[in-house]
Amino acid sequence: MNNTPDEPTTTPLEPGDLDGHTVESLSDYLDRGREPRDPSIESSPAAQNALAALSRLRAIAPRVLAADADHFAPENENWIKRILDQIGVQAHAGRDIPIPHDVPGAVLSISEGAVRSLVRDAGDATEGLIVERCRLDGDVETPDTPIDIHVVVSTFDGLDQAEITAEFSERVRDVLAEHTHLNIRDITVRVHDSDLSEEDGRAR
Amino acid sequence: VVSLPGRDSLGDADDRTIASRAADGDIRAFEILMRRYGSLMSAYAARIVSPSDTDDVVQETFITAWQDLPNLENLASVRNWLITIVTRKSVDRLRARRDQEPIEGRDIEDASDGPEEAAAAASLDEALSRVLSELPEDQRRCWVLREVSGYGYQQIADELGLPVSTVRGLLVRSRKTLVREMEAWR
Repeated sequence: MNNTPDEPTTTPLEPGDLDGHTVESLSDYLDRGREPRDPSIESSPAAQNALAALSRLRAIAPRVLAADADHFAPENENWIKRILDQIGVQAHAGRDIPIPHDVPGAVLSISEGAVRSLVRDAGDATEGLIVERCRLDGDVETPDTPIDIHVVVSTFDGLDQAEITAEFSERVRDVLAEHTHLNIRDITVRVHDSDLSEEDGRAR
Repeated sequence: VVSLPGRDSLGDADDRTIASRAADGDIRAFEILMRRYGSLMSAYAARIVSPSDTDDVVQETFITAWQDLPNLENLASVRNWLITIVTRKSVDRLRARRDQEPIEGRDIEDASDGPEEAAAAASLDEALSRVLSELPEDQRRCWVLREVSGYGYQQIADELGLPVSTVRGLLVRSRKTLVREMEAWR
């Protein structure tokens, strides 16, 4: 069977003799992309064996770090809450968008971040679509300035993208009319690489 | 109503989608990112800093990620980007600790080649992960910074406050130990 008594246990990096090379010099050779070519290494079976092992180890290194990740889960069960508490106070609010009103002495505004959040919510309310990013183009700080909204979305496969994005655009227009005084001009919705505007949607 | 994958939960969306939303200020999306990669960040930090510092490093990593995410160009690569941050934060933590502690408290001449055998593991990756965890800490740090994070010898020497020759020696020992385990699985 597999009984080969007295066979010495060697590993590629510790064969007793690397034909005059060392693990260190072979590692350096590997780091240099095996350039310039070193015949004394390339012609040595022991050195080749060691190089192969070093390459294999390097190739799986990232996997090794991830292999046992669950075992390393943060110990503090509240770690997520601790972080959320910290970043909550530094949310990306963006510009302040003034809200016209008749209250003397008061300054009312809604943040750009809050508007983006409204757009995300409109996406969540639309079947088959997720809002990724949203940008407000134009001087939102000056009332009545025409503003263009650019939204990047993902849609689920197998759905009519034009129909979904048209429905979504309409919803965005409604929700922004309800909650802001922005003068919305164009709403452009981009699905991955294809651009779909409201016009494209209506044309169908 | 047709049931769609991910319709009710952002949690099923891919990294790019989640990272994009988080970059746009969606804290809920960022929370999903933390749940997805918290353990991985912890696994990286734990291989570099001491156990008592791991949670703090993970926390710093995600806070920095939240701040810098809007500047990340390739949002689909958020996983690797987080790994870069956690490595940086871990090394910074080591440096801070080193500045606090007397140099004679450190055992840099650890001659050990590490453990002979890993505990029973279900896969090669897992076996190597355990061997790695049991390596003397300077060997482990050098190996992770070199082989996983791609740091150069001089950079590792600077970050760890060791001579380059020592870093080279530690790397040879860690490689021998890990290759021995790797070969045992062939």
